[in-house]
Amino acid sequence: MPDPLMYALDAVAYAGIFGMLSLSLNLEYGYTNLANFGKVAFFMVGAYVAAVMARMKYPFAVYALVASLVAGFIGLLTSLPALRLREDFLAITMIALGEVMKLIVKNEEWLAGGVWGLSGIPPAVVVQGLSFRERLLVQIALIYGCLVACYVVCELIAKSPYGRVLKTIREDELLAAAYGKNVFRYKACTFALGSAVSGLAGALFAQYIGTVSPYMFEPTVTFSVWMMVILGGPANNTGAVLGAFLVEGFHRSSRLLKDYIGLPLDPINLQVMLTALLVITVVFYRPQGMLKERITPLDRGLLKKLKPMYRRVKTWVRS
Amino acid sequence: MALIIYFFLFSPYRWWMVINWLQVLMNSLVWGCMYLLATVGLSLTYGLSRFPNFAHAEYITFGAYMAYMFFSILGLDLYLSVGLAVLSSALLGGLSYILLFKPLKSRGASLIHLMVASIGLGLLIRHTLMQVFGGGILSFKMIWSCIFIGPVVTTPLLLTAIVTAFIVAILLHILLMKTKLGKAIRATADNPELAAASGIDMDRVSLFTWLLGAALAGFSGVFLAMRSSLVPLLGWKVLLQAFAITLLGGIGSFYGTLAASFILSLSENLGVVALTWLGLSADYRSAVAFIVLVSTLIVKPEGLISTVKRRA
Amino acid sequence: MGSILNTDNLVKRFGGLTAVDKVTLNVEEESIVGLIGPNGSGKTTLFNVLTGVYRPDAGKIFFRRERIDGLQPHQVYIKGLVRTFQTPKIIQKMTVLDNVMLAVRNPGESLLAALFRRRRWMGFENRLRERALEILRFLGLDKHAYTPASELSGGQMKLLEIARALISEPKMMLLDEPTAGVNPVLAYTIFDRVEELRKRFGITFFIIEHRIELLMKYVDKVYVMHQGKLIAEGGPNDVMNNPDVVKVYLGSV
Ligand SMILES: Nc1ncnc2c1ncn2[C@@H]1O[C@H](COP(=O)(O)OP(=O)(O)OP(=O)(O)O)[C@@H](O)[C@H]1O
Ligand SMILES: [Mg+2]
Repeated sequence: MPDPLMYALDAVAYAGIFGMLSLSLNLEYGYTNLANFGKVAFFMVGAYVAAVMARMKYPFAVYALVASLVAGFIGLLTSLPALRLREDFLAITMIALGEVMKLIVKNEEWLAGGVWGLSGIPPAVVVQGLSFRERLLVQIALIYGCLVACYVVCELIAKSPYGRVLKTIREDELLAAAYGKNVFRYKACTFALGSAVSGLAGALFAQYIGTVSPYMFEPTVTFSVWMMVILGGPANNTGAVLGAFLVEGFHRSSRLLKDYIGLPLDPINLQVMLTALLVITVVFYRPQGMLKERITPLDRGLLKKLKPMYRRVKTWVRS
Repeated sequence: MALIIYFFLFSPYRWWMVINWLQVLMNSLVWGCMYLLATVGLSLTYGLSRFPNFAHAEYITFGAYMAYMFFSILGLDLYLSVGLAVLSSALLGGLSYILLFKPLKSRGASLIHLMVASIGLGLLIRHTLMQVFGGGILSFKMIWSCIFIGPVVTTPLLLTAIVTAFIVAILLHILLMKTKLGKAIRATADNPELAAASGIDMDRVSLFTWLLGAALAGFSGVFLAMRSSLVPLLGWKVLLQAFAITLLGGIGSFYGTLAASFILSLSENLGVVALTWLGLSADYRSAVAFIVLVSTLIVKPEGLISTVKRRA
Repeated sequence: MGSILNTDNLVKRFGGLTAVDKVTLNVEEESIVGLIGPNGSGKTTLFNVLTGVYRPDAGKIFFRRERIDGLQPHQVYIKGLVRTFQTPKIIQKMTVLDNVMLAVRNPGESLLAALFRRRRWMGFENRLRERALEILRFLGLDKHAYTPASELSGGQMKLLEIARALISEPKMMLLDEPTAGVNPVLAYTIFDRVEELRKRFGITFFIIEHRIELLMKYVDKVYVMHQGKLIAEGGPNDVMNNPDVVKVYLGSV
C-alpha cells in the first residue's frame, strides 16, 4: 500500500475529472433529457487526441481545445440521425458508438498505438524540481481549475433563458416547438457542448495518467458517470459534482475493502456489482437523486450565489 | 460508382477468384441464424414493454455459462445441459421482468430510467458470472469434425444451429399467427392501450414474451460459445448487431427481425470481404452493424416492418 | 378586410381513420371564429395540422397568404400563429412565472448569449417579467407567480396556458377549449379578454369550445365539425338552427 495521502489525492484528482463528465452528462440528461449512453466514447476521443498531440509537444491549452472540438464535432455528427427520434434511439446509437470508437482505437496502431495504447504523455504543467507529491498538487490545481470553469458554464446555462428552453424541451418537446423553439437545434447544440466538455475531461485524464489504452474506456465508465448524475440529482449541477465525489469515494472504498478486509471477491467485480445494485436501488426508490432540482425563477439564484463567491475569490487573491 | 465497379472487376488482384463465394453465403446463413435467435427476444420485448433492454446481452452470456456449468462442470448429458441452460436463461429473463422492470414501470419510471436500470442489471449479471466462473476464456472442449458440402466447409454444430433456427422460426410463426397468445402479443406490441382495453391479460403476455425471448437468447449463447469459446463479453459483443437488426427490422416485428438478421449477416460477411480487399482489419466487421444502424435511423427510422410508432 | 387563415381540402389520416376530412375553411382577419363538434370529431387534430404538429396528407394551408403546410411547429409560431393545448402543458419543475416567460423568444436563448452576453438579454428578461406579471395579475395568478407550477389547480393550469399564449402577442391565436375546467365567472372574463385583445391589438381568434352558449355570445362565425368533416358554417344563429347541427348534437347526447 503506497502513501495513503497520495492515494487520497489521486482519488481527489479522479473525482475532479469525473466531476466534469458528470456535469456534461447532467447538461445532456438532467436538463435536456438526452440519453447519452456513449459518454465514454467522447472521453476517449478527448484522451486520445490529447495523447497524440501532447506527444508531439503541443502545449496543453492547444491540445485541450482541439480535443474538445474534435469530441464535440463527433458528438454533433453522430447524434444528428437519432436526435429527431425518441430518447432510446439516441441511447442505442451512442452505446454502439462507444464500441465502434474503441474498435478504431484498437486497430489503428499507427495513430493510437493499437491495443497497447500510447504512453509517455507529458503532464500539462512541468515545473522542475518538484517532488512527486507537489506535482500531484499541481495536477489537482489544474483539474479543479477546469472543473470550476465547467461548473460556472453549466450554472450560467442553467440560469439563463437557454436553460429554460432546455428544461422545456426535457418536459415537453411539443410545447417547446409550439412556442417557437427549434427543438432539434437546441438538442444538437447541447449534445455537442456536452461532448466537448467530455473531450476536455479526456484531455485532462490523458495528461494526468500519462498513458492511454483502449481498456481504460470500457462502457462501465459511462455507467459510472450515469450513476454520478442519477445519485447526485439530475438537473442540479452541485448534485452532479457531489455525485462524482460520492461514486469515486465509493469505488475507492470498495477497493480498500478488498485490500484490508480481504474479501474473497475480485475488487472490480465487487465494485461493479455494488455500483449496479446501487443504481438500480436509486432508480427504484429515489429517482430524483440526493439533491433535488431547485425550482427558482431566473432572477433569483445565480447572481446571488455568484456575487459573494466572486467577492470571496477577490479578497482571497488580494491577500 | 462506375469507377468502383470497374475497379472491382479489373483490379489486378483478381480478388474474386480467391474468394469462395459459396462459403461467404454459408457464413452469412450461419450468422443470420445465430443473430435471429439472439435478437428475436430483444425485439419482441422492446415492442411489448417499450424500452430497449440492454441486459438482453447478458441473457445470451448467461445461457452459455449455464450450459458450461451443466455440461463441463457437472458432467451432464449435452442435450440435457443445453435444455437446462435454456431454461435457466428463460428464468433469468422472467425474473428480471417480474422483479425489476414490471415494478419499475408500474412506478411510472421514465424511459431513460428503464434503460439505466437495464444496463445496471446487465452489469450485475455479467460480473456475477465473472465472479463465479472467472473472467478468463473457457471452452467446451468439443472438437467438431469438418463437413464438406461441395466447396463449403461447415461443422455439425453450425448445421444444428441452422436447423434449430429454422425450427424456431417456424414455431414462432405458428405461435404468432395461429395461437391466441401470439395474437395477443402482436396486438399488444401494436397498441398496448387498445390491447389492454380489449381484455388481453397484459401481464401474462408480457411475462411469456420475456421468458421466451430470454430462452432463445440463451440458446444462441450456447451456440456462440460452442462455436468458439466462452468469455464474459460473449453477449455484449453481439448486442450491437442485435440492436442494428431490431431497428432495421422494425421494433417488435418478428418478420422484420427475421429478414434483418440475414440482411445484416450478409452485409457483415460482404463487409469482411471488402475489408480484406481494402487491407483493413477484419475486426471492423461490427462497424458494419453500426453503419446499418445509423443508416436505418436516417433513411427509415420505423424499420422494415413498423409496429411501434417512432416519433414521440 | 382579407382572410388571415384559410385551408384548402385539408386531409389527415391516422391509419384507417380520417381524422380531418377535406376541410376547407376561411378565417377573416380580426375576427373571432368558433369551432365546435362532438368529442372525437377531429377538432384538436385540425389544430395540430394547422400548427405543423402533423403534416397534412393532402391539402393546403395559407396563413396571411403564405403556404404554411409542411412547416415545423416552431416555424409556424414565428409566422405569428400560436396555439394552446387542450390538456394544459405545464412544466411542473418551473415557477409559474417561468412557465409564462418561456413562450417568448428571447435573445438569451442562444448559447453564446447565455454564456457571454448576459447584460444584453437581462434587460429584455426584466421587461418580459413585468409583462408576464401583469398578465398573471389579470388572470388572478399573480399570487402564485413564484410558486412551482405543479401546485396549481386544474383550472389555474388552464389559465396559465392562456397567459402563455397572450404573452406571445401573435397575429392569430388558436385556443383549444380555453375554458374547460374553469369556473363560469372566469370563463366569461377569459372571453372578455379575448374580445379586448382583438379590439386593441387586432388579434384573430379561432377557438374550440364546448360551452356553446358562451361561445355564441362572442363569435362572428362558427364552424361545426363532425367525423372529420365541416358540416356547417355561418353566424351563431344560422348554425344553431341548422338541422344537421341539431341532429349531430342530439344524436351524440
Ligand atoms: N396521434 C393519433 N393517432 C391516432 N389517432 C388519433 C391521434 N390523434 C387523434 N386521433 C383520433 O382522431 C380522432 C379525432 O381526435 P381529436 O382529438 O382531434 O378530437 P376532438 O374533436 O379534439 O375531440 P375532443 O372534443 O374530445 O377534444 C379521434 O378518433 C382520435 O382517436
Ligand atoms: Mg380536442
